[in-house]
Amino acid sequence: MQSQSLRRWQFALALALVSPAALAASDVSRAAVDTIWLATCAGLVFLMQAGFALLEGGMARSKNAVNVLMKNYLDVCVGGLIFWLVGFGLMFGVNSSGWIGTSHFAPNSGPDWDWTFLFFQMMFAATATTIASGAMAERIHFNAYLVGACVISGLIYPVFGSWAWGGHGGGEGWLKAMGFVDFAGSTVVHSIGGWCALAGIIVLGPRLGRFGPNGESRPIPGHNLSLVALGGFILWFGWVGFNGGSTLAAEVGIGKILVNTHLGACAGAVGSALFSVMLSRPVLLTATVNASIGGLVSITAGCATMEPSHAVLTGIIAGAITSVIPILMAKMRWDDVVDAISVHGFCGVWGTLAAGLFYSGDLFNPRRLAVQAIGILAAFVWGFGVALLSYLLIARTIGIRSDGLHEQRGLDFTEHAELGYPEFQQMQTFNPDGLHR
Amino acid sequence: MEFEQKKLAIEQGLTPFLGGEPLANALRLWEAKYSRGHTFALTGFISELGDGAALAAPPAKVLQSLFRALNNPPASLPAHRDRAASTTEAQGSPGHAIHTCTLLVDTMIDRLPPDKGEEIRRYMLDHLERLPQPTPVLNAIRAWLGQRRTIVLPIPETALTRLVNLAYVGLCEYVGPIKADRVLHEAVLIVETANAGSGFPVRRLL
Repeated sequence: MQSQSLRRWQFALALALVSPAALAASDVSRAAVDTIWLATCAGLVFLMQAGFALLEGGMARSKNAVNVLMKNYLDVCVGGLIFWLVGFGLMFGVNSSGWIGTSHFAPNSGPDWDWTFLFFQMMFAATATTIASGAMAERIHFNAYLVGACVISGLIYPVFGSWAWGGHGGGEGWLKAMGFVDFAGSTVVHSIGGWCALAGIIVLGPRLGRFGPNGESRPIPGHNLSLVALGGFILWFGWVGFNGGSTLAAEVGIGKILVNTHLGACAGAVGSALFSVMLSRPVLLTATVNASIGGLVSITAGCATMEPSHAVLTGIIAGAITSVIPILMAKMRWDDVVDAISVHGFCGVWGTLAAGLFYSGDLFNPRRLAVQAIGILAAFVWGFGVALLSYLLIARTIGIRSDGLHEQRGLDFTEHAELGYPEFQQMQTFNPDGLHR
Repeated sequence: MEFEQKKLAIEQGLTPFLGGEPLANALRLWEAKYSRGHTFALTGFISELGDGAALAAPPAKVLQSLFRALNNPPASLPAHRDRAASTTEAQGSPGHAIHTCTLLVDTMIDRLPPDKGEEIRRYMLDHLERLPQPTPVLNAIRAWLGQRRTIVLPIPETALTRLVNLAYVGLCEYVGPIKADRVLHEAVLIVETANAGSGFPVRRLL
């Protein structure tokens, strides 16, 4: 009797739900739920900036801590303004050619959803921009860095983004039209950021003494590993919004995306630790944190289109990449302070390939793999090429490299006249009287 | 002859050829290296002054002037109060800055194994052109780095800061940046203690 009554109620509810009025109400609530989900995810992606700041700040020496934090803080601000001004239009404006967006510049009016979408994408642009910060830490002029950040957020990132994701305002990016799979930006966000970082460190050169006269690598440990670990956790947490929000809607499929994301990070860290154990090396905290982020970067492209077992495999290989690439980088005498290029650039490449290899229901499709490879190559040529030209131009005009005296004193003192730890900074490498303003 | 009288005589002997800061530096050099030596050691003193390009006059003439001053009766020497006044004036002067700078760099280098120290000196000699200074000044610095000769020429404080930094960069290259920071820090503390009361704070050179 009770079950009959329940069935009647369910039928009545179903009728009510399919009635036009109920449908309209459902659409409104659906849009509201999507907005809430995306706005929340945007907040989580914004929190990743704090993660980057802590991770990079902790990996730098204490005399450069404020400089690293300031770069992270201000590139969000400058990048946010530039992305609103031109980046969003270039990336998501009407893209009839497939190469570049041509509308939605400095938007002041539009449908409600556009604002949510813009806010979310603004956070993505900030992420791409800030990746270069850590790699170039401890020897770049602050102003030069900010100019570079403007170029990344206003040109390099949005133009490539228009190829892979463009079409929000109409039209379609050429890579997107080819079937390029990069769900949340292994290539679009992370590899692009990584290639910009590579260009930056080549133009800058290594920090003083990072490599000995005979080319031997000298590690320069960061000043606070607790910050590194905390930064790693916050980045991981923020990735829930990064990948989960890339559905651009509150969908039931988000759970699997988040499981894959988490598995990728776990597998990355474990993969790196196993790699170290196999080579009889110590399992370092910095390497482990970087490997988990490498796992997150690599799973970002295919987290919506691959099975969890493949997510684990993707993460493990990313962990190995974050262990091997820094060694090769050191052999090239390229000084990447936080290993951003291996974590974001190379893990982004692997993740994009993995998204093609492990595409659910269409595994190892060579055509798909070829499209993925084209996207990866296009990202490198565009991202690295334009960044290299930009940094060379910056070096020629306003100067990019801090001189030896600045490196001795620390950029906190020379660029900001502020110390990260005024009560505890014991090393006398600068004249503290210079701080009295 | 008493030490103070001897010093006043050297000053009197050098006055026709040197004045101001170069004279003060020359006296400091004499005091540090030649004051306890025999009179004939003055030839070495004059030769060192010539290498530092402080003296343009012929060495024989300077030597003659010094001998004459040393043989004069004490009454003809400059008054003590004048001397005291000039010493007070020299406190915190470029001469003190040079002394502090060389002491700091020497202390940094001395804290390394001898072979590394030599590498740093060589590095500094090879990269001295980074200091935008006139040739005589660079020669004086070369003589100090290569032959441990005292610098008697005036050098601006900014150039001295650059000189300390050159040593720091050399340290970074040869022993790494972490050790370079530590060596510089320790050397600053040592010089601060040794130089207390000189009137020139070593940190001004950082």
